[in-house]
Amino acid sequence: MRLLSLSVENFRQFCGPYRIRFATSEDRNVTVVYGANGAGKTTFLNAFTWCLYDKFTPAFEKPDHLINEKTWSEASAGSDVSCKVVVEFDHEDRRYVVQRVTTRRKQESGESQVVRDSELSIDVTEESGSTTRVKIPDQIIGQILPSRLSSFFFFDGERIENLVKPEAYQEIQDAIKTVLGLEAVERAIKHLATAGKKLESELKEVATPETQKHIAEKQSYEKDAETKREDKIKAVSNIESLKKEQGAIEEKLRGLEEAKRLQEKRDGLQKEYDENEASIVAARKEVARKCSRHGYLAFSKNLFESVVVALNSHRDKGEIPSPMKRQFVEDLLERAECICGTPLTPGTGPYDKVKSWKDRSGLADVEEAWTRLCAHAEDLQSAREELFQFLSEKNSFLAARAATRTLLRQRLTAVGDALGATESEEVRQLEERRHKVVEQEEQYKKTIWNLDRELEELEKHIKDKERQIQASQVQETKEKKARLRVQAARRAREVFEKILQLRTDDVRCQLDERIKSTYSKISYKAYTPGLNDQFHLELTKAIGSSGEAVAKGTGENQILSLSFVGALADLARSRLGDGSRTSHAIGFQGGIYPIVMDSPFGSLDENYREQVAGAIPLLAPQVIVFVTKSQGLGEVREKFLPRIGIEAVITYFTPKPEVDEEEIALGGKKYPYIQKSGNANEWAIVTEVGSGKK
Amino acid sequence: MENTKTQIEKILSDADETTRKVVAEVFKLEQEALHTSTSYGIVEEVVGRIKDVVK
Repeated sequence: MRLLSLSVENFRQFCGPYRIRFATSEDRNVTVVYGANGAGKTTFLNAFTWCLYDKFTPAFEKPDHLINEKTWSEASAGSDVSCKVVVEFDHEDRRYVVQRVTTRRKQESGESQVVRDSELSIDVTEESGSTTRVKIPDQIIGQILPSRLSSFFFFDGERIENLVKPEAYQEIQDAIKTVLGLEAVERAIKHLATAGKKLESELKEVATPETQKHIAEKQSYEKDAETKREDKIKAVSNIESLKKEQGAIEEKLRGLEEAKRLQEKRDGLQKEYDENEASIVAARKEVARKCSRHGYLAFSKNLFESVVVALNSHRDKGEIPSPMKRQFVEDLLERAECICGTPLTPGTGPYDKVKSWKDRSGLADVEEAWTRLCAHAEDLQSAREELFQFLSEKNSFLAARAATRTLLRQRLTAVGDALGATESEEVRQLEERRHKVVEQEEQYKKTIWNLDRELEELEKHIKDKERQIQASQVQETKEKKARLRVQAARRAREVFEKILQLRTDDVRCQLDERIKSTYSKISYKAYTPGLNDQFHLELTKAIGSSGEAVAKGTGENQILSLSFVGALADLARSRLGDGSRTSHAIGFQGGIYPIVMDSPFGSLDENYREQVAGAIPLLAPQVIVFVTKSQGLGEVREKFLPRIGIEAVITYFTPKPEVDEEEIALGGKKYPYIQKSGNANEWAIVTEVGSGKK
Repeated sequence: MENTKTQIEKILSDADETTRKVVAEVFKLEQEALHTSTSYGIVEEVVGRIKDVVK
């Protein structure tokens, strides 16, 4: 997918028809659009997402008010007003013109009546020049760039750091499955589960009373598990909402003079607390790993000692005479002569004496094994001591971190108490609400923990019942067939689950490698990023021979998230050429994709800005960036300049008469940036200003 | 990647003939459904395919 242009008409701030072209060359792959806050940068980003997917980014306010207000207010009653976005792009030797239109009729009362709601059309022009209108347009877009991936390629830069937060893990996991084209497998798992239940009900009809009883019990457990899963989803969703509310309260406190200092203190303490928690989790993981591999050593104290003692005792008793081989004694008895020349006749004293050596001499391999075991027992003894040393160090570390946790909790409580006791009524109320929100969050976390345990138990019961159903006696052929069908549905589902797991793990590892590579090019910190097996984006720093999780600042989060997006784009690109594009591979087939980002430098300090600006052109073959002049000029533009193909400026017309008009200087020329509208309306226009070359 | 392909082949070869047939049928069905963006009646169709395999 190579974006060629975006046209908007009567869409939000943009009144008349405006069109932006995008840089498409390989060496100058960056398009930069400058605009003041509120001028329309986010509107452009959402023009893409609305046109292609009929959806909006979270920061896009009032998504049901798409038609330009000025046009609407000037329209006469009874007339139809439309807003339209057109995205033009190339994809695999075809040109696509995607158009989405919404039309409203203005009624006498001023209310709007829907005439056309978000109608999509796509025209495709083949290489030969012939153009056709696509019959099922949503499906085409889904195959070129699935909606589930779109949020990674069209995103709000200020919010991209959210990718490292827990609520994004599912999104990441889904994206991975989509990149691999695994939706068919996912659907098969889901539908086979339901089909299995239907077949089980059919089996119940024809089964013996004993099987019927097991099926009924299994279905009851499944129903219970379903309810608990729904409860868990609700609890997770409630936590997300509460976290958002907590964030909003803290943002308000930061903005209030009476609370600013204390909230900032709390931010610092919270950061320390999170860092401390991350290191506790990492240390526990290390201990768990070590115990899983070498834990048996802890319970073998006397075993090694007694092995060595037993071995030595046997040697002392001459029961394992290493130089004396059984074969050697047998040869002497067969020859009927000892090495000293004494005849060895059965029934005589010398014969019996030599024969007794045969029983006392060990087999060669037994003897060797005992010798090796003795040496190994000594090695294990020292490994055991090392294990205790490691555990002792980690215990001290964890004890220190636990003490830090207690201290930080006390300090955080003290800050909360201080905020709750300020003179400002507003601050007190906000703090009280925050306290309640945090308490509720904790309550939901406990609920989730309990639900997980209950679900584990129910899964065990369901498995038991499955076994009992299969083991119970078959009455007749009908039942046998019904049972085989249930079994086939279950086994097929298990096969799909294993395949899904394998492919997901495989691609996670590939992404992990790519994230590491991209991150190392951007960040100057000696951290190692990674996508762990729970699909969490993590940063670790080396402590001795092991790694410790680090709490990430906003800059690091943003770089980590950008690295993930770059890695995903790279993986989608590689999928295009990995041979998976066969005629039967329906669904997402990979490809080359642009990255469109709004305000990628919003909350970054100067160092990070330069580094991110240097990395952005490398993330994808085509990059479109929307920035304010304070974000996009200076060192950022310097970094971008060799890669800029097209620059454009959004000029914002404000109704505020007292505002200072502003210009933006690009390539030695000045362009209007903020202007007075001269009336009560606000609007914006966009102008292409050049190629970016100095 | 190669290793994963081998493991998937092993999963399929370890499965019995009936399971393999159901897997193939259901996968084909899901891909067709994905292509036409339909989910309506898919479970009934899956049940039907299983019954076709286990007659």
